[in-house]
Amino acid sequence: MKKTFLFYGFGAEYVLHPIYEELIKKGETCIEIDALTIKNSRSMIKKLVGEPVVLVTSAHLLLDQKSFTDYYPTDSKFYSVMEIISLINPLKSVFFPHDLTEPFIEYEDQYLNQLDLFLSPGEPFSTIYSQYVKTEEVGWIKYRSNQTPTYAKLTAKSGRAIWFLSDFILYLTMGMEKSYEVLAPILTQGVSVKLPLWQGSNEFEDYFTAKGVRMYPAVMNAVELIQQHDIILTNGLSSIIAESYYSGKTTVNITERSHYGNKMSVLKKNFPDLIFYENIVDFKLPEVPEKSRKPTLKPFDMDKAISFIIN
Amino acid sequence: MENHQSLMQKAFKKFVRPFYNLLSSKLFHDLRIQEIHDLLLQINHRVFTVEEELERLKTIQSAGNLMLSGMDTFENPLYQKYPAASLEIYDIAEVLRGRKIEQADIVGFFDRIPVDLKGKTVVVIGGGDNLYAHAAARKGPSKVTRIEATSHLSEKNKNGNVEFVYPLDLSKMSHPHFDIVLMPCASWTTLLAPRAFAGLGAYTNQIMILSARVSAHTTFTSSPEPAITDNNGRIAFNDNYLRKQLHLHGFVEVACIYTDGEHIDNMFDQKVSKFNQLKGFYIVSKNTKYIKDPQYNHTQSVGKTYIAYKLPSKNYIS
Repeated sequence: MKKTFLFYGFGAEYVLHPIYEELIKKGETCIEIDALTIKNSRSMIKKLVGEPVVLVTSAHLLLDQKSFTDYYPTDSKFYSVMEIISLINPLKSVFFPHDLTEPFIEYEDQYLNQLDLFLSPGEPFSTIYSQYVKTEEVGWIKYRSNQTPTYAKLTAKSGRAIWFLSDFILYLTMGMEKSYEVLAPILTQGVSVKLPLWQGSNEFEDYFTAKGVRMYPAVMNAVELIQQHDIILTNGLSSIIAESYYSGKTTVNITERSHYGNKMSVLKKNFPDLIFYENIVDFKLPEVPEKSRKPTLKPFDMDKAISFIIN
Repeated sequence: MENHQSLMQKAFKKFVRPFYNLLSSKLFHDLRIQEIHDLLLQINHRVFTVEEELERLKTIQSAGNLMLSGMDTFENPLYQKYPAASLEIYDIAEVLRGRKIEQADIVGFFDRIPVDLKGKTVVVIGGGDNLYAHAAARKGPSKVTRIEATSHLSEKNKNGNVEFVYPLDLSKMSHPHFDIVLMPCASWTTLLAPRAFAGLGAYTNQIMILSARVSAHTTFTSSPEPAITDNNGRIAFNDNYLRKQLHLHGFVEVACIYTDGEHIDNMFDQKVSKFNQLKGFYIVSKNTKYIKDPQYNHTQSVGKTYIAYKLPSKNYIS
């Protein structure tokens, strides 16, 4: 019986679409589930019970309906990765991280032995997690070396800075007008903005554009945008921090309104050159010190990754 | 004039200098005495502290020896003097001593665990006897390994399928991955539960089954206290604490399957363990009336057998 490849993830945390496309091109049977877009993915999963399935996921292993909706209210019905593994007993389960700053959140490493393969973006993660699960290094999935820039590189200093706004749910709850009011001290300095691909991000893009902010579409590849800018603004705990840092860029983190749990010390330890601003109003673009480093981010090896998934 | 000076000098030498010498000598003497006295005080204080520490260590050693020899009645005043240390030693001693297991206990343990061992790799931790491993082997696993306690610190021995390790060094061992972990001895659970289960969660592929002493009256409360001391002076866990430890160290679902002679087969117990990882722990706060109940007895404990699953059990995925 022919194998079905199930690609599974949540909204902006689903990073597997390029691999899905490649497998479709190769004539494989694939199902793609973004559990936030599909209203009831449970029924789709249940149909796979008893079928030969290879599960490929970038979702948090334990993010089930209840724990997710506690943070992000949604009408979608879905299973956690652990529930899917338990239900369909896949032939193979493969995990890609969607967050380079924190590939696994607290306690997830205890569950890694439920997977068959961890496709690591690189060190130090390969060494750390290989003790729990078979690990292969394939580079960072969001960094494609053959990508061509979709726009010309900007030169003016104000155009060289971009804010990848994270913790978007906070601003979504706050509303567009209030959010602009809060963020204006930075946005009015000519800093471009890219929002995460999330429900409601389109409306924010339109509103901020009308206010004169240079917005990049949420669908754009973040790593590509990082490569095209010199100063990268982040907030909260975001994969962008590591992507920018390992790309050798001057990286700023705005701590106001963001939540870090107990991870602030980890950030400071892992990214010693990360520049923190406690308040939005403290940020002055011309005064940001340049702290660039040698880039170490490895581009994604699609062929290698696909061979690990298929074979 | 010269005669006058000479007379004054003579008078000074004769009458003043001795007095001065006596006075200064007395003064220095007193000062030194004071200094020495201070030093002695300090030394005495330190000796006293060292003596006190030595006495404490001797007491703990005596308590340990008593327990190791099997005379572990908690009536001994030593236990009351240093309860925390004594309880710690008690648990280490318990796992080291490996009390004799009755055949009925072993049969009962395997009767009540609803787990198919066929073709699985199984590790039996503690029990102090090969009988658990024999009983497990009869259930058709592909491999049975035993881990037993040795009193020699950091000593790691292997004898056939048995690995000997000092209990608190278990986390330092490099493990293979096991499908099923059996921990039939409650003292091992008492030792390992507060110590991240010695990292066994990451090496358990499917299920951990363990026996534990649990407070009889805190079953479904979210009391922050991890443990009580029961009326035998032993550590007994708060049920919720034990579940939380299991959740934290890699088990999605935890169910109590057996309590002091009674099988547990109800949905309520399953609900208590329904796991909510990212937000923390969703523990049903029920039966909290005990707090106001004058009859509440802090010192009752019961033996329970828990089954902790790595994956959600399919029956409860809605």
